[in-house]
Amino acid sequence: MERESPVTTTDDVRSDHPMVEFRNVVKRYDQTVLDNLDLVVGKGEKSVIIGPSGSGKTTILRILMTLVRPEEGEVLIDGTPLWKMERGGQLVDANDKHLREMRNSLGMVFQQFNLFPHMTVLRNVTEGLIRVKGMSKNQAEEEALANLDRVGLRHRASDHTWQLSGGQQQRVAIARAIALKPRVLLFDEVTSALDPELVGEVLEVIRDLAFNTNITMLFVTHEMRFAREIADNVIMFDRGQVVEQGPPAQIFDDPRELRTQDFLRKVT
Amino acid sequence: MSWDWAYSISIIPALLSGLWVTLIVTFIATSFGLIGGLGLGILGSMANPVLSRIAGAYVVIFRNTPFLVQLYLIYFALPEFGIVLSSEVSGVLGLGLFISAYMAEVYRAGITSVPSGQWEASISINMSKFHTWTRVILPQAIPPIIPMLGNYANLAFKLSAYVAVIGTIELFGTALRLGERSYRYLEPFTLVGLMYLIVSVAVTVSLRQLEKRMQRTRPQMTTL
Repeated sequence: MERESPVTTTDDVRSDHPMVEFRNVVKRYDQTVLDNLDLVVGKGEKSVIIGPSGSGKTTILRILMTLVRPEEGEVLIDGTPLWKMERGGQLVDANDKHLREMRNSLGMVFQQFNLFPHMTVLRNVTEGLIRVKGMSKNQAEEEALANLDRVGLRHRASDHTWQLSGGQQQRVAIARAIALKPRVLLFDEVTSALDPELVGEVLEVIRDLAFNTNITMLFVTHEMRFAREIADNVIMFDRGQVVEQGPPAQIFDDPRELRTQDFLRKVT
Repeated sequence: MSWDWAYSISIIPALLSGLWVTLIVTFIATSFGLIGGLGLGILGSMANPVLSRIAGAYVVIFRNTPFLVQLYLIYFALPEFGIVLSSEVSGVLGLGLFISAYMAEVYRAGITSVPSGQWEASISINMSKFHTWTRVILPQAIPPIIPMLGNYANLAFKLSAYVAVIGTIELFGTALRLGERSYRYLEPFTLVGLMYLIVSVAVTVSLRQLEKRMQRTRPQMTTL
């Protein structure tokens, strides 16, 4: 499929920071999950992280979504530190206000969808628009319906989320995330919990976003064919570190590292 | 032993008047308990260890001492610190404080049963803590625990009898007075027992109906 050129924004003209940057990031639970990680995602880039389970891939996304705090290192969104902030010329731990400000640029779609079960499909999408963006109910509904339309679920707006199939729920989750117009969208194994026949409809929606928007997107996925199709950059990740990265053709067809070759042999 | 029908009928108005006081005491104390318990339940669920431990200490103290001891301390011991409360206020306050400790644990169970993904989703759309609590977490935490809260309200109703010992003339207290005056205890306390039984069973049955109705119309909100 021919890729349309991403729409450029004033962002690209003004600053030359990568959209997402990890510098020497360390995260430990019982063991070291991220081991002096360096990672860069450019503006508008679609990056896919692949690798064995438990290698820390999801932790990368969770740190970006401010769900988890790294022990060491710097995480930057468009050049601005995420977990630290400036105060009196010094860098201190970010307070809640700073985190909330940074979160405006971020959105995430989860493996388990995490929709709000006590709300209708429409309200799942309008809730953020009303409570976070401060829109009026009418504005929010208009905006929400447009986003539901984009994911093909406008006709289910008044249903409750538990009345929908897994694929439909995940599409609502995507609508909920994109309605807030994030600059960075994180996808954490979004099709892994779906029955195989429902995966396609979700990938279709993501394909649309990948080819038709300039949102920076970071994926953790096991869908190798899909990764090859939409990724600008594929990152092979194992045991807390980047093993190798490059364009999909290079990683999938001509991997240089043994660990990459072993992994790809197991999953494809 | 003989049942004095004339006497029993003659004391019913007084007992009903006492029942009315019992219901008021129960209502105020339960309202206090519902609100206080919610506050304690939220504090007890917070990540901040200082807040959650304070809430935890309160619950431990009020759940591990007899209600009667708490009542006596409020009514007889607080005046030593300059806080003098009437027997009615002491009774309602004591019952409210006691019940909130139990309700706090029920609320906490409801809150922790909400999947962590709900918190994460709220963060992912940058919702404030306040809105996360009021729009996402509590609306999911509370419906499944309503029957349990109702049970504790019912408990409060029966415990309210204790406030008689610090001087509030409610249902049990009325029976005591009648008994002391007439030397007949059989009729007053049998009738009192019946009144507690009728109200308590009515509440229990209503709660069960409510639970059944919730299972039918909103099944996803009934699992804990």
